[in-house]
Amino acid sequence: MGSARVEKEVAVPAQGRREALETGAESDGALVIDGVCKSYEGFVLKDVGLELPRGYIMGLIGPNGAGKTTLIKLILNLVRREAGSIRVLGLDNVTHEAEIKSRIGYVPDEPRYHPDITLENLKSATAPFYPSWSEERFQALASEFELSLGKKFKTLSHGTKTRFSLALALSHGAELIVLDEPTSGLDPVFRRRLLDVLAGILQDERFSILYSTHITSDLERTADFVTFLRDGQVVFSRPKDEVIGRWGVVRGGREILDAEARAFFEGVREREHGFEGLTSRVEAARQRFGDRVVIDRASLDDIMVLMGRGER
Amino acid sequence: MTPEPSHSAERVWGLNRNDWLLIRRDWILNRVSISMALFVFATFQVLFVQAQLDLPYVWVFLTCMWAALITLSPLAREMADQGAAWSCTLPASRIDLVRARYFGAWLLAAVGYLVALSVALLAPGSTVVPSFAIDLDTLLVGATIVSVILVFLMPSVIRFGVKGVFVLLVPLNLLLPVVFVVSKATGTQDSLENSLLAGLQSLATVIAGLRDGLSRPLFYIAIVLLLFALNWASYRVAVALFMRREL
Repeated sequence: MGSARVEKEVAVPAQGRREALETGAESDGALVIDGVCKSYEGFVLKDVGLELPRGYIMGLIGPNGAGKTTLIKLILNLVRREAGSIRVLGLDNVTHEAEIKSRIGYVPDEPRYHPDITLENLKSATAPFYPSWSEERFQALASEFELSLGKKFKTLSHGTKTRFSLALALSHGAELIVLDEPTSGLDPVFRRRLLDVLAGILQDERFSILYSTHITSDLERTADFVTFLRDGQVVFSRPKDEVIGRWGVVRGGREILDAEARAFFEGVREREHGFEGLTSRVEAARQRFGDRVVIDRASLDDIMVLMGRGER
Repeated sequence: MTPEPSHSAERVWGLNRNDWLLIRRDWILNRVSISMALFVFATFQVLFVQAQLDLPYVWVFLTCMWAALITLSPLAREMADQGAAWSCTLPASRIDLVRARYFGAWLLAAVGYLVALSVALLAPGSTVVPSFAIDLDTLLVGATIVSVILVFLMPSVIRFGVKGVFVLLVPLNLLLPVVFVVSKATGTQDSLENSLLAGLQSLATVIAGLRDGLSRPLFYIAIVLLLFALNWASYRVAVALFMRREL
């Protein structure tokens, strides 16, 4: 099993870049990560870089253990970076930790609050920390998310815990919302509502969202950018439309999958009677394989699955 | 995680807004368990008083030890519930979090002492004399007991949670017997014991000397400054440990 070619690309959409340059906001993006490294035993997050301009949603995708949660924890300074820089809303995330956190809304993959405390009391313990806290907004979200504020946290399902965490994160006018797998425990109906809420937030272009997920269909609906992490490295960080338009999935019989053909693909999945290969060179693939294969536009799911396998 | 100046600069009693909010938050999250602990504490006071023991400094020792241990409960509970990550996502620096823990602990110890004192005085058959319980000497002895417990346990509990108590106490409990066994094997037991006794006697002599040499107010100020210095050193160690903690 070889490793697929890793290309580190960081880009913003042409329109976004132009606007950013015009407003002078480019160096003051919602999130700018550059050369960040972090190592644990058996895992290395290496030279990670990405840029999220204000007013956009970025989806962070990658297989389990790719480093998505570690990257989010680094942004929040929950774990210490070993190298590189992280600027949130133009400020270093370590030297301006408290200020930055008042402007970030964070939803962890597994919300953990004191289990014996009611949601009302958890909210009361949290709200005064945020100068921009909106009680009206919180009550509206609690109602929309069907939260019973008199219930103790430990009695809630995983999905309801996530909803509560979301209500807290969205009630203090956070300019950067960081969501770690927010939809993983949610039913499809609420997932759709959540995506609508997030889209509503982005009506105000000061707000930005970083959103890690396995459910790539959510990203196809909402994200402006996609960053793909694999084995602790950024494979690409590009505008979603560019990602989807660029990649193709080649499907054909196994008899054409020789060593030379394998080298053509960034990722290959073999089946009993055929194979699927991911390529960024769609036109070249058409010329090379002709009508022996079928070529479709790759979905984010295809890209994540095939690149995540890293096979040739 | 380098220290940063807190963004909430206004201070009351040396605490910024975040510190007060953190103490308030701890109260909201732990008021039931703290109230229950205080109830047990009060029951102990009633039983102690009923025993009619004329051992005032034993009362001070047990009361202050109880009060100091109660102060660790919010922190221990947060660690048990894995709530530290939540605390660290709030808009407060890690220094704010540690400072609030220390001030909150002292506040709670003071409240615990007041509750204990009130119950001990009001309980029928009480032998606790009010003038003794609020005497400066008694209060300083109490503050020393609370300080000794907090100074040693807080950094360890802040870094390791409840198991921090064991991280500290288990090696200590192993170290002393090992030292004595080694000293016995090497024939230096007598000299070790003599050194320990001499050390304790020197400490007592220094304190007595200070007490005799200084005027009463100066002596009290010196003790308070010493306790403050110990707490400050413990706080700095706790900050350094908490800065390294990954969540």
